[in-house]
Formats: sequence, structure tokens, C-alpha cells
Amino acid sequence: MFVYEKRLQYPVKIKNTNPKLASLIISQYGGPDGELGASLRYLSQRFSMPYPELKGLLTDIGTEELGHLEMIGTIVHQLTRNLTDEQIKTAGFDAYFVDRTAGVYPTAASGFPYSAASMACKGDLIADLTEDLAADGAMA
Amino acid sequence: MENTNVHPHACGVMEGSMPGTCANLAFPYIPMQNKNAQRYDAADALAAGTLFPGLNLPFFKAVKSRMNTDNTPLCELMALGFAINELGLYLDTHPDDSEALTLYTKYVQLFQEGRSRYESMYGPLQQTAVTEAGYTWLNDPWPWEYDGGKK
Repeated sequence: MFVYEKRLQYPVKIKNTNPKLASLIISQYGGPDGELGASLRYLSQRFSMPYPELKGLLTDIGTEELGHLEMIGTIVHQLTRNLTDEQIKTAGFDAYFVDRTAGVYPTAASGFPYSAASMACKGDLIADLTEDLAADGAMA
Repeated sequence: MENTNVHPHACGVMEGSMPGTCANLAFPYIPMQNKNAQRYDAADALAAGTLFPGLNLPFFKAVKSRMNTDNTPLCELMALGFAINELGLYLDTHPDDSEALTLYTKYVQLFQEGRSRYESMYGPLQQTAVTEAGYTWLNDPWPWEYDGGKK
């Protein structure tokens, strides 16, 4: 069960629109090492964890990652606020815009949509924790 | 068959060398954080991104400028909330640290009081918090909006 709290974990207030930056930061939303992957990784792996410390940690970290996902989505949303016609044509953002306009879509910066193929959930404690190190160590 | 290159303090057949010690081969390890780990206060923790000075390890040791937050009621709640998140994760692996548990209990109580106070002034943080103004859950701003964190 999850309960939503109507606040961010850390404040986000971005004054200047910057679609080019948004087109890169979106990878932390739905890319291979992004926050969506982190949430799903931890919240899925916990079902086969044998120890209470690990059931707790994966539940609590996976939940916090959802809060990170919301912050990254907020950053992308605010970076693409009040776009001008010229800004829409910004190299790097133009391809995103033609598919998603200013919607915050879970995708890698490369354009590859979020894929669970970028995470593992093997039902084996050592395999899963090692995968967590690789994924969260790549982009904490 | 004898290996004449064996160091006098060589590790056992199933072991490999670590700085100053031996350990089982092929096992990765992560040192356990000590009990009573040194802590920042809540505002410093939110600015640093961790409650623990020992875990304040910027990417590639880049020296970052401090990410201070505004001194608003919401930012104070965020700082308390972050300290609670961090202490909660610490307690998951250190459930017997009574000093950390005492602080956790204190922060949770402060947070709950602070949240009620905030909600009575600025509107609900949880859908179930119905205030005297009626059902104001839908009122702008939402957290992702540019002025979402102004109070």
C-alpha cells in the first residue's frame, strides 16, 4: 500500500527553460539507470528476499526512489515550461517534441522507451544485490 | 609441489589478500556502518544529500557548492522528512542502535506536528487531511509546478 504526500523530497524551482538539458535529464527518469528502473528493481526484488533487513531496505529504498522519480519528472517539466517556437526546434529536443510534445515520458535520452530489460530480478539474493550495486553505482 | 614464491604472511588457499588482512576469495564486501554513526542536523543533511558525514561521497569527489534550501515551513518539513528517511534506512540495518531510534522517534513526532500545522495553514499534504476550508486537496499548486514549493 502506498500513500501520496503532496510535496517533493527536495524543492525544485527552475527559472530558465532549457529543452536541451531536459532531453538529457529525461534519461534519469526512464533510462536504463533511471529512477523508474530503480523503483521497480527494488520493489520487485524484495519479494524473494529471505532476511528482514533486506525486505525492509528494498521496500524503503524502492519507495524513496519513487520520490526521486517525481523530482526528476518535475525538473523535466519545469525545463520545458512555456516553450517558444524556436525552443521547440532546439537540436536534441526537437525529436522528443515531435513524439511527446512537452509530456514527461519515461524514456532514455537516446529515445529508447523505458524497458524492464535494463533491470534484473533473479530471485537470488547475491545476484540481485550485485545488480543493485551495478545499477545504482552507475548513477546514484 | 611447493610454491617457493609464497610470502611469509600469505593468505590461505581459499583466501586472497586485502590491505592488511586476508579474506575469502571471490566474495565482494561492503563494510558495515558503525553504530552511533556521526550525523548532520536535518537542514545540513538535506543540503548534503545524506544524513551521515561518512557517506558524503560526491561523484568523483567533485567539490560541489552547498545546495541550501529556502527557509520556508515546507523546506523545514522536507529537511525533517529527509532525516527520517535516512534514519529509517539506517535503522533497517542497525535496529539495536537505541540513540538513533530515540532520534528517529523524536523526528517523526516533530514531523507529524509540523505537517498538521502546515496543513492547517496551507492545505493538505495528504488527501485524508481535510481542513476547515473543506476538500482542498485539488487546489494548486501541485508539487511539480513552478510555484509548487513557495510556502
